[in-house]
Amino acid sequence: MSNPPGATLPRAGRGLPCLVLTCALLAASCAAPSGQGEYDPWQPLNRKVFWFNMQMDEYVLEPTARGWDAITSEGVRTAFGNFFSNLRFPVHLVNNLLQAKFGGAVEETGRFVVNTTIGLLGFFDPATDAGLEAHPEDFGQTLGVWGLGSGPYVMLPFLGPSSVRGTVGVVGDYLVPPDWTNDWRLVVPGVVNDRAVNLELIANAQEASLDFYAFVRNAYLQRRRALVADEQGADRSLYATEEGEAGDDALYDDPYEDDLYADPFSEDGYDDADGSEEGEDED
Amino acid sequence: MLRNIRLTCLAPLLGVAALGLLAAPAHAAEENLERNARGVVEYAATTVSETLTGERSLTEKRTQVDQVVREVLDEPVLSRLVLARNYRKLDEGQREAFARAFQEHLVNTYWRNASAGELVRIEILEDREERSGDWTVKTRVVAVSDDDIKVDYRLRRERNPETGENDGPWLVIDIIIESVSMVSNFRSQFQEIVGNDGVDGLLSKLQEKNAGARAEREQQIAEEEA
Repeated sequence: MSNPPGATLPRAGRGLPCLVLTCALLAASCAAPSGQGEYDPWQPLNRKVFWFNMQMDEYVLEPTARGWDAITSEGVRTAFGNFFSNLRFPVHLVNNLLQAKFGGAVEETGRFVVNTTIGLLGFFDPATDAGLEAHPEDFGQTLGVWGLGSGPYVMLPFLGPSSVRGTVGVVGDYLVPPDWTNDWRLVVPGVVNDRAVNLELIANAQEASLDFYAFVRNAYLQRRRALVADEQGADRSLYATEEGEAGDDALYDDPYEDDLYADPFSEDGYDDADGSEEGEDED
Repeated sequence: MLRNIRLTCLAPLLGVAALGLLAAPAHAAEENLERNARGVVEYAATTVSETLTGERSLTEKRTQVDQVVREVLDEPVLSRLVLARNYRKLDEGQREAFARAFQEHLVNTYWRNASAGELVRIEILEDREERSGDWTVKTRVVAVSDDDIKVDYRLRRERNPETGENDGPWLVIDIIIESVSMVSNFRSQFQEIVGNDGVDGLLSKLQEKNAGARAEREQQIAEEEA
């Protein structure tokens, strides 16, 4: 589910085109406003892809996950979840190193060794019990730590919410050897298992949202922003923006002067920031 | 990739489940006045976990939890925060209708999630003042068989309508679950909906959701009585 199975260029041959693509995308990403509000200039296309993903979910993924859910116990699903996470070790290791997070790299390596052996190929997670924390870095985060803005929001077919930076990150992570990190025979069951673990959660989220597309986009962007900020060791504010400005405090300011969410691509901007007194003292 | 999908997509959704575990004081107003923000969350957490793990019928539990949520959320402030600049597009009647419908939606969402997971306990980790004078209380929700969920509450003192001062009891104005702010999330959704379907579209969507939830609830009660 993660990558087209046909994309099997020899390893050395993959580098160059990807590098070119990366540069192009990064240029786009740097030019874009970031950190403020939600930059989604490709929304019409993104919504179509989202619709497609939701159809796939409704008719393929969710029914499959329900089937898996019906024939397995919770313990089994957790064990498979552990197993599939453990397979991501090479990607986590590389990105910890790229972010100069050597402590994280050591811990990830320790986790992999312990869980693969004592944890019986990763089905169990004795490493966590032993106090070895996971540091699941990916290349999108690495780029963020390197200071790249996330660029426009992108809804990827099958893969879900991302950004230009995240998309480059997907490509970068794909290049990490060995091949089993990208083997669809392992990736697809992992996705199904994950979906099964989260059946109720996702149903509740859909129930709670009025525009599920916007729900997912906003949650994704907030979450990624926080992850990148965390990786920079920042606890400046609970509401730190990507740039580390006081941006999110503005979330709670008087909404009449709310610039933070004045999305640049919206037609119906608000005409005046403080002209209207009306309702100012409502509550 | 798998991990990627997990973290970026599922973590926020996980957070939604924790919405259900927001808590509230049982006998609200007076006692809140005496409490600082942390105290409100602390007391709230205790009350909801006791209600949920208690020996009462589901209907009774729900009534209790709903009441507590209504008491602890600052609905007028929440309405303004989630509508942001769209707030001024609403006339008096629409504002009231929105506040009522949105509160009902939050209460329903809360309950759906609260009754879903098996709560073990809620730990209060730390609290701090924000620049604006709001207060943030960080908590961790521990549930059976799930990863812990970080839930932060943002509180603000209720505004006194007569003086215009924020000197009332501390009330919750946002819930931040695994770094995802509920206010920001709803604001983004409502911005889209108002942009596409107008204020009336938003109101009718909310009311539609609520009607569905009401039907669900009645069915639940009927099942329990049967």
